[in-house]
Amino acid sequence: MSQTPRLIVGRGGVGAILLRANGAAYTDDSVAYNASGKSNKVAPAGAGGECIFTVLYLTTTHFDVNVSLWITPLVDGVALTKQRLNLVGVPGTDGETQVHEIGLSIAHLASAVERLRYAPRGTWFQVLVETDAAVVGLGACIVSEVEVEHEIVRESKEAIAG
Amino acid sequence: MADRPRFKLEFGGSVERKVGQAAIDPSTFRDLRNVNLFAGRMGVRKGLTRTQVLGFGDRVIAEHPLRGRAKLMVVTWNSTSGQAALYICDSDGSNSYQITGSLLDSAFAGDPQPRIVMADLYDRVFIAHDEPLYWRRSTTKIFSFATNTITDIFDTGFTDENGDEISPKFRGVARHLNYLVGWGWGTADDGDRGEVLRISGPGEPTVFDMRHYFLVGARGEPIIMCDPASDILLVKKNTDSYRLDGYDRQTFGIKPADPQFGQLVSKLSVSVGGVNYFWSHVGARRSVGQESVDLAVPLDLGGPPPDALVVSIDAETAFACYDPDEREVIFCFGQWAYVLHLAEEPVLKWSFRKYAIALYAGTISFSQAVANMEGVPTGTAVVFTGVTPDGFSSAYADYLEWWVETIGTFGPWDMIEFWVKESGGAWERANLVEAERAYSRQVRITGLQAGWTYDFAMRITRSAVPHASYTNPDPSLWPAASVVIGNVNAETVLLIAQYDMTGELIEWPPGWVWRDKLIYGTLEDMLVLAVEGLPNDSDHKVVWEAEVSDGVGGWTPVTAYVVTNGLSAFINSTPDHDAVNLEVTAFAGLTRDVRIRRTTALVTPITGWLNFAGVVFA
Repeated sequence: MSQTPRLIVGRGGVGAILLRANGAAYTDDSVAYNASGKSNKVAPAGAGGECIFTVLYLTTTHFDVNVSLWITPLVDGVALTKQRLNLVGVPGTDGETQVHEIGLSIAHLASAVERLRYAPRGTWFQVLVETDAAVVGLGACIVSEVEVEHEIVRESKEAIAG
Repeated sequence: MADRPRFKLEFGGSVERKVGQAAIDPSTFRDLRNVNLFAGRMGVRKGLTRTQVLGFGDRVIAEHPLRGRAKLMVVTWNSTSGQAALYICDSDGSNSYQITGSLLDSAFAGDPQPRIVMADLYDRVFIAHDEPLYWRRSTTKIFSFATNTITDIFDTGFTDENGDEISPKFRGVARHLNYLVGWGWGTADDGDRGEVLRISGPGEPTVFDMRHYFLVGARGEPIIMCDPASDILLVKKNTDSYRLDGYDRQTFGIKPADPQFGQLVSKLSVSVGGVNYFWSHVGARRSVGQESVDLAVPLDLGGPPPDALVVSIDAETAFACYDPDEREVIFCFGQWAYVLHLAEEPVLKWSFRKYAIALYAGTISFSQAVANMEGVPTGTAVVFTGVTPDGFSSAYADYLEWWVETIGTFGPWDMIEFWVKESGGAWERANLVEAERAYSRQVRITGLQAGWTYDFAMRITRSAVPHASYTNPDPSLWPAASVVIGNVNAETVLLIAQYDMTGELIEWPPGWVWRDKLIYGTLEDMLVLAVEGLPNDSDHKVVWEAEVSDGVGGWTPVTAYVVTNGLSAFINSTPDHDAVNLEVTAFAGLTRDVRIRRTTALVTPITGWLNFAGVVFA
């Protein structure tokens, strides 16, 4: 005899309604929601150091869903231009793992004309990943790896005990 | 040019103080919303799928799983009227049935949402009303699968050690070993004792020895909740905790567990794997029965939570639950939740969750891989045969008997419910028998008013849940094959050849030409026989004679009355073709053999006796 445990929750407001958690779709009782994740702040050169951040590598695994992700890098708390990733449904349950290479750059404008781009420079780096709209489909959408490529331009030095 | 170094960013990771030269700001709350965290990954969480809308109320306020039955008990609440109702559902949240009876002794419009605490033991569910104000608190209710009903204030189902009924008003109940533990109630004369913890008799969850209780902590500081933690019961007040050690009356004892931290409200705790997770006045903590451990460091409650969460927190309606699929402990405050991800223990990760809707209850529920245990009964119908009252207007029996037939496949949890309604009265469930299998059987409903007219209905339930066609609270609206409306007297109506409950037809007198209606039953000191369709002879006068015997001595003549149309008279005769009752009087409480015959007839004298063995004169 085996038992299968599951979470059952109850809502209110529009009636006494029972719902099962981890359902098939990405809606709560047919109401869509968004997901987001903001990473840790990291300072590859230390709190007193400084880096240039050049490329963000985002690894996703998805299947049987259509979803758009907004990727927003933040350097020292300042959001750079967010970029959009479209993940189109892949059948099956193994999914497709993709590594998305997202260049980090800031446009230099002269009279509203972009003249050049340069890598952002700062101490703390952070990334915000958001779903653009409700995830459509019955599969899965997983962000499995996020790495930032950087180059240290000024290191902080540890104190030396005397 | 060589590749530049890369730095890995984790979502919801534990506090990594230092990785190489990189530093992670430990005070920053990692703002994760609507995600599952596992293996350093972040997945968009799956949604909540509606299983059903329950008919009563506008909010689900409590849930409790029944593992042995693979059912889910659900309490709903009407925020306008303040009334609550109890439902029983399948473990997956489908199929439901509202249990007859009221959970709250009194309800007031505009009341705050009540908190209900449930526990199950020995096929019964105990339901406590966690109301701080004693005068508003309802008596603790019992739902029993043996009766499919809820007890009420007039019949609480609880007794003391002497067998006298008591009316406990526990703030909460919990199962511990094979005991029922209740708290927040002292005695009938001193009921409002929040610090009192009572323990039932072993294996007797409805029996409370009034001398067996514990005073937990300071008087006046109420116990909020009791949860299992490792092998003890963790007894939590608002700002301190205790542990109930021991395994029986001789060894039970209360000891301090945590002098600093307790639980905020009763529903904000859940035990997983011997660890109790609860929400204290400073946030989430966990305990295995000793001093609790702070879980708020990784959560960083001092950091800035989402603005919407701050304004939405309502601890009075909050609850905690565990999601076994994702291994998450969820502290839910309406639409927002703090989620503790246990998938990578001992590393604990937190996230926020913003549901698209507000939630008020949740629990882990267990299905069973047993055929015919869940779902609705598959038995298709219950039909009557032999219920053909046809002229026996005199009613002397206080019971009814009829033949029923069950059709289909039945499981061990399928029962037949019988309902009766006296003329002008309300429907009441009269009896409950196991459906067992498809066959015809004879059923007796007792305790009726002799001479009254009753309606009948029946249905099959599976762990109290009937088929969808039988959920209407008015049984007269159930499928017609299962209902008989009106004109059925509380009088035995059956073929004597099928009757073997209080007597047995041993001998059919030779030469008798009875038709097919001969009925009898016992009422007090009488054997009541009804006869119709007498031989179509020319004699319209039949005189009856009756004798009784105790099986040792000889036969003793007794009086035989013939009753016609409800009028008892010593007329000793019957007209032809009429339905009559024949009463044979003996002493109440005796068991006697009985024989009757017609002694005098102008035509075709009767010489044989009609014998009944072992008739019980009730």
